[in-house]
Amino acid sequence: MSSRKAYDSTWQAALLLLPTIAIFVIFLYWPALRTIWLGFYETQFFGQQGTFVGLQQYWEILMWEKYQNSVIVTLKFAVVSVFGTLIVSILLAYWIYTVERGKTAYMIAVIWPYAMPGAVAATVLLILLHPEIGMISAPIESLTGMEWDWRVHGTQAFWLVALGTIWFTLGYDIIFLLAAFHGIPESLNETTRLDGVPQWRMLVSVYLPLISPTLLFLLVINTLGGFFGGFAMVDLVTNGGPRGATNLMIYQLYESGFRNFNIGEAAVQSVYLFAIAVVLAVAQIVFSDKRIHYGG
Amino acid sequence: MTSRNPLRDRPGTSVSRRRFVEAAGAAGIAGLAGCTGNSDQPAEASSGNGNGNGNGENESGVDVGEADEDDIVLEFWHIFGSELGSHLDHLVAEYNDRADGIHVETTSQGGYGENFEATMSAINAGNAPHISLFASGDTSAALDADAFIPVEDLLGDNVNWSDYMEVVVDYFAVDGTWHSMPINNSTAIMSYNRDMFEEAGLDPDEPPETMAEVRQVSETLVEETQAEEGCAWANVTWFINQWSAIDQEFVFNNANGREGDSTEILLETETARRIYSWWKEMYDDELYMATQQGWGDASGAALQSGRVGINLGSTAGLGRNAELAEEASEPFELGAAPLFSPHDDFHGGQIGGGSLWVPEQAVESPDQEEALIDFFLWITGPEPQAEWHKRTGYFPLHRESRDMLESDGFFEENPAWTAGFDQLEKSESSEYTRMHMVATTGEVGDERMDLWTALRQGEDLDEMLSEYKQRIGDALQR
Repeated sequence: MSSRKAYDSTWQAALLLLPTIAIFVIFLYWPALRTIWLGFYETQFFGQQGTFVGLQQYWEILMWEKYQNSVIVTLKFAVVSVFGTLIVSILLAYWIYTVERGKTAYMIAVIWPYAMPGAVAATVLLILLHPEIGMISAPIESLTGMEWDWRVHGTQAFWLVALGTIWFTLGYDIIFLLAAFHGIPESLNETTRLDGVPQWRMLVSVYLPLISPTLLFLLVINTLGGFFGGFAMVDLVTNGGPRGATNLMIYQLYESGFRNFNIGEAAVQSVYLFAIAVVLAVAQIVFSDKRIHYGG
Repeated sequence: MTSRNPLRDRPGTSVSRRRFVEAAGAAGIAGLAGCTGNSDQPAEASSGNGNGNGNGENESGVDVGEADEDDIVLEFWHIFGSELGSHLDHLVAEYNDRADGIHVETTSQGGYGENFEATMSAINAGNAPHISLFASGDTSAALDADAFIPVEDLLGDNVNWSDYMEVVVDYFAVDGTWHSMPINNSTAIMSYNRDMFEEAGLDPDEPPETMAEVRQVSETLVEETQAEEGCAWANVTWFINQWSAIDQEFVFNNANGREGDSTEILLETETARRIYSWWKEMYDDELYMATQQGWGDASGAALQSGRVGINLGSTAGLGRNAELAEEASEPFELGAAPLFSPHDDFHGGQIGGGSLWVPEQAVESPDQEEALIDFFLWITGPEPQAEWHKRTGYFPLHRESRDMLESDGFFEENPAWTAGFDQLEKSESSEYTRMHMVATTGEVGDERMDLWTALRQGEDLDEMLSEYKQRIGDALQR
């Protein structure tokens, strides 16, 4: 038995937990269950009228060509944004960590885009990269010799959305990475410096293993971001087009639910999205747990 | 850039986010953005920019007055941005001034999609507005919801429907019933640069009337003038619908959804083939400038800068085009003419736009009913409609309004404005010209716009027509 006893009875503890539990139930568990349940109905108008169709709707969505395309686009987007964000952030954070002068200025510069709401960042990019009036569009065309029009070319639209999202989410990763780098003991730096270890080697062989808990954390967060992020860019810039090239699952869900008012269909999609996110997050943690160095 | 920029007309995840963005993109960037809109509706009807802080405050700059304590307050949700919103508020303020014991409050929800969504949610939550403006494309959805009083029942004997422009009310009637009150309606129209026509040796009084003629004229303009392409218009399905009606062809089966649910899009008809193949050839031969997806100012800008000699838009955008012509670095005289026909004949063109719906639950007392009747009769009356037309270019619903404008000399001062009326006079109301009873605001409309994007991407016409026939059919049957 524990020697410390905080509460006289279980009831007392339960009572104190009640507000938290109530909030979870009302805002989390109940809506989640209701979403799964709504997926069994073919609905119109915000669930006003519904026909019970059971699992059929879950199956239909899987077989829906447009949704299959959306899943592929999302997977591509997730891979690009997860690794893109992480690699670029590591490089930038490491440079900032090792730079001698102007560290604060660099820090502000890379974190700044993150301080903007996604919608604002997307609008800024839209102004810069618009095929007709974008300031950067003409230089892109003259440098690469290609026709810059992401309203027609799907590949361009995809990279615009992916790189744009990476750009304004970088700051988040960098903040954590900088904190992690700064947590490394100075004595270690001195030792390796005396040994003459080159800087890139320091990063790969010393720093990255040391900050692996942070990397894992960011990997999980970025993966979730990969599946749930990108909405602002898609909604404001490409609208999922051209011809579905940037139709992320989260955007398709919104389209189904709030443009076509098909709540049943949207419910199914959010269940799928949720399932994917859970599986990925759990898989990453289980897989990475064995190779992460937590120090001490 | 201009501040008027109807371009997007889609529901947003949240109104405040959308408005925030619009404020951020104040340069009107969105006007040129590649955003898809509810392509079925004329641009000016979807103006949604810069209209405020999202909490429903009146941001049009026109004060509609304060309600007295015992006034019956009618809530009126609309979709207009600051410019059109101010015109509406001007009318509403006048009404509030004269109405005794009735006060109308206007709130802009930003766009058709947003307003439809907001109204439906409000109905679900039990606090619906008394009046709400929906796009004609939302009619079948609104009827399915079974939550609105047909205005015909509401107004009863108080109204004589023959006072209203036939082509407008005929468009909106469903199975012989007027469910909603048309308020902002326009038709597609061609604007052109008369000076450029003269420079190219074309007669500006004889604008092209068929697709074949438009092609010839475009070739001449490109050869003889500074124009890069002959003509420009946005990728919106409204023009396709218009051309189909002009050519007496349905767009969707079952008489555009009037004789049962549409399950198919008729892309294999001669008319559809003609439209898409002509459009694609115009594009491939650099005679047509693809300005944007969804409504916006880009086609107007192309005409203004002399990059094209012809653009297509809505009659409600004529005032805007005339302004652009005047403000151009090389000002020119603007011409306007009815939309050209796919073949040689011109049958009836379609109109488009929105109408006012009355949620059943909002009308709680006979007093409120009286108030609604009073307001509807007033705002659709001759003077307010004449004023509305003058300010916005939307057709005046009341027949007498045109005569009033005529005797005021309005058309003499603005000759281009008669083109819309000419087109309506040329038009035969028929099963082809009536509003489609197909929910086209979402997936169906998007797929239809994608068909054009596919053709721009260089895909084969026949393959795409059959692929999209399949895709759109699937969407219709979902």
